[in-house]
Amino acid sequence: MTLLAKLKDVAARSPWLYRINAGSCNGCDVELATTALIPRYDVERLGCLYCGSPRHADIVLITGPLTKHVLAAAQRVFAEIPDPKVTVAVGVCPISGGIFRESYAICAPIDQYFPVDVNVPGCPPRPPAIIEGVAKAIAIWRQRL
Amino acid sequence: MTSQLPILVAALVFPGGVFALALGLALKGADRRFAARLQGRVGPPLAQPFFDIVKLGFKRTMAPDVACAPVFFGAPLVGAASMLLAMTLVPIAGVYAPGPIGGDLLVLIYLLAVPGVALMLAGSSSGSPYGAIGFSREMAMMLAYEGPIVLIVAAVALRVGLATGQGPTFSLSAIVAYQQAHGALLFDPVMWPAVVAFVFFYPANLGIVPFDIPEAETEVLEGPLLEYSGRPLALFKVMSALKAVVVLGLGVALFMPLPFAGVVGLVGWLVQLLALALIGVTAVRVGAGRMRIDQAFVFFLKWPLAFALIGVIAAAYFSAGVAP
Amino acid sequence: MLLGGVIGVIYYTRVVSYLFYYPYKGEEGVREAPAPMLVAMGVLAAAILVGGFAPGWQLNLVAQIGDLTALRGALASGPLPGLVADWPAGATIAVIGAVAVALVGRASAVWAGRLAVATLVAALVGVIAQAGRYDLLSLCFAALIAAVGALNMLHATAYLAHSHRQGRFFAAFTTMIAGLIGMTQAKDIFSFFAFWELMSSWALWMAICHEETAAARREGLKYFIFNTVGASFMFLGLAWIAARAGTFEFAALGSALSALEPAVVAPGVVLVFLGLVMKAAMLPVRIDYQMHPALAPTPVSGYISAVLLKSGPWGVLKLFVVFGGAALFSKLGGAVNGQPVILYVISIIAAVTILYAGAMAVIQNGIKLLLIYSTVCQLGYVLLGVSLGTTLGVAGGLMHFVNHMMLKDAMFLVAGAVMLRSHATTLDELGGLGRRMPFTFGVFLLSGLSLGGVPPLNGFSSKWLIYYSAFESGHWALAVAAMIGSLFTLAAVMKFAHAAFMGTPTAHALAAKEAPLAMLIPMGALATASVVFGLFPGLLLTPIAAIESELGFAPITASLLGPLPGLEGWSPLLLTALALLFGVLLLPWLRLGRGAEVVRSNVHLCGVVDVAAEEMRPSTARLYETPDAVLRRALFAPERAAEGEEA
Repeated sequence: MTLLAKLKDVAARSPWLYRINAGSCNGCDVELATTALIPRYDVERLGCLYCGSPRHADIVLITGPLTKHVLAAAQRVFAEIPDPKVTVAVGVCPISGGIFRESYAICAPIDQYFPVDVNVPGCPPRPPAIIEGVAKAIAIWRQRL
Repeated sequence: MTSQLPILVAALVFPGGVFALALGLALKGADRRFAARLQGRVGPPLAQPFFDIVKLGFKRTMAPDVACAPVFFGAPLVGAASMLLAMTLVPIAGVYAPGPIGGDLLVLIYLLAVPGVALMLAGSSSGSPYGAIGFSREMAMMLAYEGPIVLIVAAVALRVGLATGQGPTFSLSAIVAYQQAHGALLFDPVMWPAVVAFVFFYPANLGIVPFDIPEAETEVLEGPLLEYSGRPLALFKVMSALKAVVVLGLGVALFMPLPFAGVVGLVGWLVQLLALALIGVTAVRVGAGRMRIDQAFVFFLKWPLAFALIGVIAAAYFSAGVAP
Repeated sequence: MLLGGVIGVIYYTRVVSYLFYYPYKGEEGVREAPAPMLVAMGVLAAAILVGGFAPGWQLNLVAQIGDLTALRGALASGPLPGLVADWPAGATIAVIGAVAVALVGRASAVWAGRLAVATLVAALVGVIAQAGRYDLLSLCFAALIAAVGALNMLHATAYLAHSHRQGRFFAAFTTMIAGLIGMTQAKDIFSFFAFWELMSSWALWMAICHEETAAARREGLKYFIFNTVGASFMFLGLAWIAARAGTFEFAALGSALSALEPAVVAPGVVLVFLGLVMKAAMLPVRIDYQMHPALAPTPVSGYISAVLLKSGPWGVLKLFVVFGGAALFSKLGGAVNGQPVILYVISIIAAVTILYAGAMAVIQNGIKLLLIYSTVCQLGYVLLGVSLGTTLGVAGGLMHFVNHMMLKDAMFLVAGAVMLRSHATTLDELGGLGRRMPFTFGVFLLSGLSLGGVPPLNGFSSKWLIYYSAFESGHWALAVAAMIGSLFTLAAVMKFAHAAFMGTPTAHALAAKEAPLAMLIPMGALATASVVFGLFPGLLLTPIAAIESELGFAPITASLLGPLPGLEGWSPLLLTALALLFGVLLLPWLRLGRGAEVVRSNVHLCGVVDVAAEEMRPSTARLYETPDAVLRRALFAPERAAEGEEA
């Protein structure tokens, strides 16, 4: 393998995560924050860290059915994330709207607005499922480096 | 026996430059791993910070449209360069003695202020309101911990200088040599207030919990570093890693240099740094919560300043009884 | 009699103020006075001028009468000063030029400005041409006075481009400089005091009151009164000393004073030094009265800060040596650790001022008030170094004397440029000027960081020397105070830099343009000089070593390319070279390859778009909220002023 490919392999071992709550009920966010990525399941062994700033992010985790109210803000924040990045839609709400699918106020499915790479269905998804989704996202991200 | 390496080798290879960079990032990796184990997790591999730097090299650089580009990109450069420079001034007992032509303890103390200034310029030049808040908190923290460190340094200089019969000496090589001959200042009761003050000083200087207020991720979205991405961000990470080595190395040189030389001395120094990092940085960081800026500022004006003041007065009077 | 004189001068200044500095509110149709009245006034005015410049024949008459009276009354006849002030070429050129500028100013302001700059350059040439008249310390000071004066005058031509009656201002400013030059070469007490009065009384007042606003007049009068009081103390002291010593010549004073009893000499010396220390705006008298007003036009504010107030420390050093040096002063009350008590008291005052003024600078919100408090703080450093009386101390003090002159003047010129372009007076009204005025910003950042004590810049080098010398002479508490004061300066500078040049831009800022060329040249010159002196401190230290040996101190070891003096002296050149090396090595990685393409985007605000930029800036008053509250309580300073006031 060339040096560049080796460097990219090394780089892929440090994906930083950023969460965007696009109108979620917080169920998936609670899973993200307190269950899936904290000591018991520990994604830090994959090199993942939560960042406070979108500029530091590599993998974007979007939760929620993308309400009309938050659409512009979410798109603006998404654009502030530097390339190369991977988008993971967590929960069933971004995929189809979930239990809110008949509401007038949502814009799901979000892949009309964001280039979603990985879907992690569930309401909420179980922590091991979220980690599997993140791992798949890392593999995709490696290709984009 | 200490040696004085040619200044370029000292700056670029050992103990500055490549060695400092590798050591800083390795210490950071050890810190993350140990923190994870303390929290019952597995934790990242020890080389994780190296991976982080490589990864940041592959990211696109973004900058706000209102930012002042020369200052925005110059700040991380200045910060990292200043810490690389500072590494050439930190002695390693028995292995490396900085030549006086490069500067002394006073220069080192003020060089340690440059990363803070770089962070402030970063936060300010990005044009972001969070950056401005980070700027103001960083300045408040610098104002808070500067008093204690000045007094601590004066205490050590007075103690060593007066005990050897000259005036206060700021040559780090002389301070290390004195301790190698007469025993570490850590075991000197007169210096204990100064040691306690130093224990409060370095978490604030290194920006670790409970004093990591300027760069709080949750409160101010990482403050000054909010708008940085890619390689400039990598330089800031490098700067903070190097700063940890400089400050911990300074602490070792001021209070507990080992009396060994050569390879044994170097290994001993590395073990000391690791121990200081794991006990003094990681355990504190894992066990404490973050303070508010006003709590931290007022706290520093009380206990650390008091201890440092007692330390310097004790050093002055118990060494040879000098009038201020 | 002195008190009467002081009251008189204040009264007459108010009259002049009413005549010239208040707007006219009377009837129309007032013409110049008729010819016979003009002739009579002209003859009297000419007599006044002749009496002032050539009092010889008047003095002879009076002296004969005085001697006769003394003979009849069997009194000893005291010495009389030669009441002719010694006018050196530099000062003469400046004064003649000032008159010319005032006349030209009635016709064209632009030409008045150019003539003023040319006059000052000619004055500089005059100083250097007559180099033999000055001792080395005063020669260097005089050359700096003229050179920095020329730069500030150039800046003033642009600053006052849209003001009124510029000719009057340029003339007053030039006269002030003439007084300074004359003072530096004085060889006897009378000349010294005459020129001191010339530079610190009416010319200074006219320059400060130029804007003719009520606040400017009030502040100008306050400062005028303060200066007059300080000069009165000095006058009393000098008269006392001259009477006791029996001579007015500096060269003879030393030996004359050493022959006298300490108790006879001490009051005079204390009064003189009190006057000098007041000039340098040191505590413990109310510091807001001691600082020059912020309402003066910025070029003259900068000049006062950078050069005029330096006459205090210069006077302390020069008169210390003239009166007899450490030998005399040790008799006047003993010595502490080898340092005479008078100087020890001055060092303590200086150290306290460093802390107090530094802390006050941090809490200011006015553009110039911040810089003025910072000046007082830095003058404390210079006075601390000089009053230590040791080799390294005097060297450090003198080095900071020059460094501060350049750095602070550059910062004031930047403030002037900013105020010109944005028409603001408080820091709150500014913001984001860095992209519009990049050169100005660069000069400010360089000068400000240097003054704040960031190694290896020149401000830090001279401060390091002062710390080191203070520790070396055993005064660790003073050294620690100085070290902490450095951080206050850094805090104030960063506050200014953020509020004015960085942060979210305001509407004022978006309309600003880069400063005009007449301002860029002096700022660039001062910044370049600072950089050169930072890299090669030997350029400053070699003359300082010569000055020290001439004044009777042991000289420092200094060479043009060498390191700073002292046992642990280091080389700023080496540190800068290393830092640049690291920068050069890291820069390619930062800006090439993937780092080259920079994507510009909006600031991250969590997606919020409907908040105006003005609402998102933390106001300057709140910028250092926690330290601000603590410092205000510690300094017994008033609470934050309301928005919009010059606090």
